[in-house]
Amino acid sequence: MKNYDQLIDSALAELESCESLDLLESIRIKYFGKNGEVTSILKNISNLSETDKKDMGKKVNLLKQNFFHNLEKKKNLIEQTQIKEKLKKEQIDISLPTREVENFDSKLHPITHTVNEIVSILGNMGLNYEEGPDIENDFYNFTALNIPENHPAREMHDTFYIKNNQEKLVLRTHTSPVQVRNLKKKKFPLRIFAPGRTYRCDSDITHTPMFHQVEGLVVDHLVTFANLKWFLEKFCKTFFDNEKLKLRFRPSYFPFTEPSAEVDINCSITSGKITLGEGDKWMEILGCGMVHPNVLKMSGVDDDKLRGFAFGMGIERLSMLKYGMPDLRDFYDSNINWLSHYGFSFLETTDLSWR
Amino acid sequence: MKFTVGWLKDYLEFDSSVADLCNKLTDIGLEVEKVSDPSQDLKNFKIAKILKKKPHPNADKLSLCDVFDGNENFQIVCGAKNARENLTTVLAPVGTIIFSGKKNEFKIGKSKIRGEESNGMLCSEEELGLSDFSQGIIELDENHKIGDEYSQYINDEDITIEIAITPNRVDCAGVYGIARDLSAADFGKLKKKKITKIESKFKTQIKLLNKLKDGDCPNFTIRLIKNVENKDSSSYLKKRFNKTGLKIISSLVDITNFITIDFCRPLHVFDYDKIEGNLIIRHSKKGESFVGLDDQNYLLDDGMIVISDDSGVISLAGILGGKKTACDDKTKNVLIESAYFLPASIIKSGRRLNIQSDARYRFERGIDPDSVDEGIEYASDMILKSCGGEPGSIVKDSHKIIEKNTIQIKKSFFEKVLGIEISNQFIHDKLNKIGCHFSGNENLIVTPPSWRSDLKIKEDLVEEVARLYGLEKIPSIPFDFHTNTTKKKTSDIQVIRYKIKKLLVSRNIFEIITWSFTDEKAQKLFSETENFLKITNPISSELSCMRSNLLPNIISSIKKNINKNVNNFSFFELGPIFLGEEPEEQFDYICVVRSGKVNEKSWIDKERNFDFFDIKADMYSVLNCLDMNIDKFDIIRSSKSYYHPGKSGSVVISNETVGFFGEISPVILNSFDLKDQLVAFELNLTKLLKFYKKKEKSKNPLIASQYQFSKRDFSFELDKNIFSLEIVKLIKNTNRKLIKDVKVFDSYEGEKINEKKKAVGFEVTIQSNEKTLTDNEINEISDEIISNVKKKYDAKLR
Repeated sequence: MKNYDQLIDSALAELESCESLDLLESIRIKYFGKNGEVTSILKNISNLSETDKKDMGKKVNLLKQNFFHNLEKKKNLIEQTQIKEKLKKEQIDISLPTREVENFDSKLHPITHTVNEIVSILGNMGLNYEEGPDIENDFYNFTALNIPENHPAREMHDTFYIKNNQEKLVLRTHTSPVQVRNLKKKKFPLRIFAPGRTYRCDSDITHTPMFHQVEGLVVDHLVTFANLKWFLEKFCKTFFDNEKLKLRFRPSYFPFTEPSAEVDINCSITSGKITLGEGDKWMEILGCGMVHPNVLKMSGVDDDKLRGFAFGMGIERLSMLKYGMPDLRDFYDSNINWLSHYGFSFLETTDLSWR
Repeated sequence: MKFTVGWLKDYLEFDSSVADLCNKLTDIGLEVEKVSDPSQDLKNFKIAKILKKKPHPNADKLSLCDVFDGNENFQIVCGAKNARENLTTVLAPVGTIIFSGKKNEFKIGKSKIRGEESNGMLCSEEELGLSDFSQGIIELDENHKIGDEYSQYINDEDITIEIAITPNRVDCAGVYGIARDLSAADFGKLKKKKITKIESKFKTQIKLLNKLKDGDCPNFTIRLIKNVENKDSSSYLKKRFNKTGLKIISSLVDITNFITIDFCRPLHVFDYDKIEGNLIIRHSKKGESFVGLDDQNYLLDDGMIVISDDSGVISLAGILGGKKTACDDKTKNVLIESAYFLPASIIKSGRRLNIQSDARYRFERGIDPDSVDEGIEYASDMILKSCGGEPGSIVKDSHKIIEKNTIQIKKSFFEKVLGIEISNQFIHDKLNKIGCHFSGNENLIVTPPSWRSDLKIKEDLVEEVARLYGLEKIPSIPFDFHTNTTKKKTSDIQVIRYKIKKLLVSRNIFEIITWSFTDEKAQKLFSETENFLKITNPISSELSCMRSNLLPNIISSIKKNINKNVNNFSFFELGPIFLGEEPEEQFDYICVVRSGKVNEKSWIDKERNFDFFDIKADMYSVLNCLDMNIDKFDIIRSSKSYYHPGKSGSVVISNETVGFFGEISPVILNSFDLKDQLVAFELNLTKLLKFYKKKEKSKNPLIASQYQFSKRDFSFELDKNIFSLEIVKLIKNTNRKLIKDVKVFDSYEGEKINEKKKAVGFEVTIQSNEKTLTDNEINEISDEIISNVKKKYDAKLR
């Protein structure tokens, strides 16, 4: 028995001092292998008396438990040390650049982003997104909007004409023809907005032959100029994300609205930088008014019963005021550095009314 | 419309500041575009006197002036011709900034000019910003004290205001009209214009025939003034002309131009002695010609209003006077014309001849038809005062002018439109002040004044009351939009367009927006027809037709960037193309072009060009995002000529071609002078959307088999021209229930195989939803696959 106690001590001590998996295995074989020392003791157990046998059985089981527990612990320890050693050697230069498919971070065009913002806001204010064709006939672009053939306002629109034989076709000079197309459907109340491409035969620092406008039209029974003011204040404050923004309504003239107004927003200009919502300078941003009864009549709408307001604004201008692009012409220059700088990641979107 | 504050004060009494005046103008709809108040910029300038003047020893055109500024004397080199001894003028001392705030701004320094010292500058009006053009240095009278700051002497005649006049407000294209409108807005008190009636001394002898009095020219009136002396205009009139940018010509002409701006009453003066025979107002005939005051020869069309004498056309009515009968410094007898022409006819001839004039501007917007007599009396009075002479009688040939328009309006209508109640008292006061006559109280019957032809309907009166009330004072009142907030605001295509844009940007493709027009030459490369929609008046020959394809503009944009040494990038545009003039012939297209290399000089990945399969992946990603089953689309080899014939295809759904994709043909690259390879796809979104069916909100139940799946690989030797996709479809159709997926894992052409053949490897996933399949069952399916492919495509299993 004494012999056996020594055996336990030496087995556990050997485990403790072992430092490799191979050695660990040989220790296991030495004690618990087919001809291992403990195994051989067990082989001789039948020679013992019943009480000794029982006693011995218990002891051996305890030893076995103890031994294998320690063995497992040691094994884990050695394995972990080995992994650590291995990983230590596998060092890379973590400052190397990432795997990039291309050199650029591509962006949405700022017009797309701005239109999306407008769609979200106007959609949430209850207006439907409507569209119309870019090539319009003279009637929809002018006549139906109370701009007859000899009206001086026609000269203010530098119109592109399409070569053809029959009717007079133009590239729409504003998005307002969409108003007419929707009035003619005669479904009231009518609440729509229409962003899109527009064209004028003009090209300089502040004009491009193609640009974007958004048009708004609300026709209902009890619409007033006071409602129009509220609507545009709400739109502008939301769009520019600026509660302090002040609006100035100035009487103006558009053939398709009466009364008509132009709207300015306040700003300050210090060394060329425009800050909106503070200061006493004014920046024109849109035109609006109560729909002219002739426009309603010409689309067959009863102007005694229905009244409406309409507004229109330049999308590039809104975009430039909000995001600070200095030059309108850059919008259509497809310069990748400009697109990269002023464009928007597809994650930077407000998707409220896209359903 | 430009005027000086002093000019306005001729007709309006007020004490407010210029800033308040400008605010008020803008508030009532006369938007101030520019104010020029020189007193701010002129603080440093001083009144000085030239004591002595001698020639510059080294320059003929310069002189040396000994100048006294009230404190000391010093020498200044001056180039002005009018510099002379004892002249009181304006000095810019050393350190003063000239043209302050403008592009050509500079600072006066102590300098040597051609070897002579100069201590400052003697200034012209132009240099002080007092006029746009001036000759010589300013000449001042004795009332200017030497040594004073010049800004002290700036008065209302030096301050100019420029306002924008909307097309409806021609009544304010005259200083008097502006004063009238300001007083209607309770800004100052109007000094009513008093026009003296001139007693005639003799009968004007000329035969006048107005053939158009029942049409285009309801009123034509003339008066002869004999024995005038056409001198220079007075200095006060000259100064106003200078300030407001009007050309000084001669007293007679200046007077008509003055009245045009002052009273919005265009007039004309003829040299009576140059008129031959009778004066006839008639329509021109095609082929007639006429030499204008601008020395240009105009070829006339039928139907323009002209004034003619026995020799032919002598004036283009309401637009431009003629050279032949123009007044000059020898004019002794002058015939004044004051008339009313209908706006529409003036617009027509003005546009056709493309002549811009102050008269045309006013006539075509509709001046006061009742101002004909006032105009002729006003002009007579001024001419007699400045040129002398004896007035003749007034001769007219006119129609009894147009009856007055009346407007009926209920008092409640103002509130209906504006949203606030406006008192009767206010409405009556304002109607009165803008010159309307009216009767009634709750139901008003209003007659607008003759000078407001823009007031036609009741809404026009609402605008008048609103702008004079102040749009600022109208409150913002919320409107109930709730009835429409729950419905969807966007259509499928609007949502899908945006979805596709986001998708493509997430695949590292830049969005660009290009013109809807394009270069005809470039477009021909991409089109089988040359039947493009052309623009009659393009901005340039490179933008002369409507685009029928997105590629030309995108490739040009790529080229532009490559020229700036930017390479290896991708562009897309989603926008309209135009195949005809009808709205249905405008299609939304999406087009992606990738250019150059995928990984240029990467430390980690292999460098390669963007290729066919990159662009095919882009295209499939778009088709996928439309929630459409890819299996519904067929890929066909036939494509467009601008693609590589072997590396391109078209996409077909239900026998309709919806797009093209592939490598761009080297022929195209050459014509754009591009070296980098391009791959592109284009899809007709409008067409595609016809096949789009929106998914149900609620999703189908998920069917995922619990049972084991098996994978089997097959490699077939096939004819080269057989699409691998055909085999995939065939394998799938062998057992649609159990074959869950077919993948191409290899495609080989080369030495190890017959040159007409290729070897394609397919991995087939077989799985049942009901049980684990036995080897036998799987083998059965495998055998079926092999025999089907062999049979249909004459293939060999490898």
